[in-house]
Amino acid sequence: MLTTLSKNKTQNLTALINDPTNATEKLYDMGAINDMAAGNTDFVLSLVKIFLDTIPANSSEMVKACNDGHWDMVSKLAHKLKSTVDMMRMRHITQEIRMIEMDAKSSGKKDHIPALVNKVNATIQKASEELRKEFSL
Amino acid sequence: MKDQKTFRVFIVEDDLWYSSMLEYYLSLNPDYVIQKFDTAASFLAKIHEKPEVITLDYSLPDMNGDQLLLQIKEVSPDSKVIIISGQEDVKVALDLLKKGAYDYIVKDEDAKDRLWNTINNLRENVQLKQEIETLKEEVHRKYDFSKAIIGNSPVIQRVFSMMEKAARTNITVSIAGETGTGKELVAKSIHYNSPRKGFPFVAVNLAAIPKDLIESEMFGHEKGAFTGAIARRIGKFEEASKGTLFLDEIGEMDINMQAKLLRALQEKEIMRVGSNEIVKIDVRIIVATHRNLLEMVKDGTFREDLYYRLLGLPINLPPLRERENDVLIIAKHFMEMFCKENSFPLKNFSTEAKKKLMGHAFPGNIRELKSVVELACVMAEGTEIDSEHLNVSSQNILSDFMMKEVTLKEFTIKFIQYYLDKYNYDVLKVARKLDVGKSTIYRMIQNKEVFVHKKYAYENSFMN
Repeated sequence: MLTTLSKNKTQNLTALINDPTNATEKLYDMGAINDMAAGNTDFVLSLVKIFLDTIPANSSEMVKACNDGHWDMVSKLAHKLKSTVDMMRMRHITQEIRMIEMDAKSSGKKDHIPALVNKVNATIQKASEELRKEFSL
Repeated sequence: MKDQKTFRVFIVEDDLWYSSMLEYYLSLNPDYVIQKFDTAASFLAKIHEKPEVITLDYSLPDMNGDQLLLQIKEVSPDSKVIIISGQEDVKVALDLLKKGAYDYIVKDEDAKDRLWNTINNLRENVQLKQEIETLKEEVHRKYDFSKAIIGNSPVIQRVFSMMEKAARTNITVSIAGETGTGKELVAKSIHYNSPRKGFPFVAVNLAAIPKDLIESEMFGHEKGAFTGAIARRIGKFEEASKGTLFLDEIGEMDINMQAKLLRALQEKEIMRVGSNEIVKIDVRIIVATHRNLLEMVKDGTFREDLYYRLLGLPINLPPLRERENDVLIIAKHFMEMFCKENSFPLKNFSTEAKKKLMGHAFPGNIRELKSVVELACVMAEGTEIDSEHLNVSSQNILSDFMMKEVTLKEFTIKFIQYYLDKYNYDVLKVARKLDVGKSTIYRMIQNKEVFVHKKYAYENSFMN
């Protein structure tokens, strides 16, 4: 998957950087979590709270590391965010987060990374707002 | 000992969101006891608890998965480590599996299900291993001399002493005894108390194998050695390698096969049927028979050289009727065992029942006693086993009586008791049948030489 990703990087990049935060559809999908919870709303709520407590902060940290050129840290934070982005089915940024993780630790050019980081961050922050609303937090 | 039901899973994961999700999902199984750790250091402080499973995030803030895996393998080698990682790198995964990780799961939407299945499989494996260990312990306990063979009679004490001698050395043992006296039990006890106990005990009943198949059964065969030999198969000698080969009913072995067995025992090597390759063997031989081998040697049906090769340390198992009070001790043991297995309350034997057991010759020996006692446990409604519950079959009363050397008086007592049992303790009828005076029988009852079941005693009104 990663090889395909890097091959098509150039043509995909423009599409990827399009800002999804203006989209009207939801930026996340709780389907996987709800399946697992099987009706246990307390569990869903606790996961949402943990998401709100940690994920937007990690994402902001990634933006800061990116601005400072701390690429190793950028890669590590992208790696950390990846599993949550997947489980929350945040499909607008699943490829981006992988590209950030891989490219930030590679020796290649980093020019495209800030735009990707900003997109991921904007999506996560917006998704967090939506989650707060949905769960009245 | 650990609680067999609970199964401890340690989740080592710095991503709180992910670890909470795993914790919740795995705790859906109430048998799993879950503990979470967000750093390698906090986990290492608890590793001495040796959990059954550790799910390990490959990228922890204070140590990478590689190093931590090595430490786990050192301190708690039996804990199974499942790496859970966001790294989709096959090389890393292979490397970790080589280093002893049980599985490698990539953090995606299916990860939780894969983890669930992996842990379930692991749990089954661990339980099977625990069961094997318990069974091994049980086998060793079961064949402990003092527990496997029960009895205090001098004749059985002599057998114990011979068995101890046999267990200490590698000598061939020949066990003689009537059917049902426990020849295989003695052979197993010797094996499980000998230095060979960690290796197989292989029992072969030579009377049960067709003559044409015995050579391939014993020595194995190569593929195509004969019609139907579709694959190579090892024989009992190789199967028992470093252990004990128990040849039961050795007297039934065909004379041609005797020559082959003798060669195998002398040269300590065999050849599979259809092969020229010599296979060295290291087995301890124990043989058993209910026949008189020496007589067979005289008749020319058993090779003399093989007889002396196999004689080794002879152990003669006495029949039950020569074991005095052992019959009661063994009957009690079988009763306890049967009641325990079937969740019955324990029972006891009435005086009459004990007398009946002591009076019977048990031509089927311990095997017969076991079935008599088990049936009695089923038939007796209350906590007492009475003589009426003991179904000792005396189809051939005369041969039964004659098996024991008794005095004429003892014979008379047994004879009258047999007829009393047979005719429901109807003294008048028995007196008529045997053509003796009824007062003779009443006197014997009063002297407690023969007994009458209480139920009938009332009807006969000679007891209060």
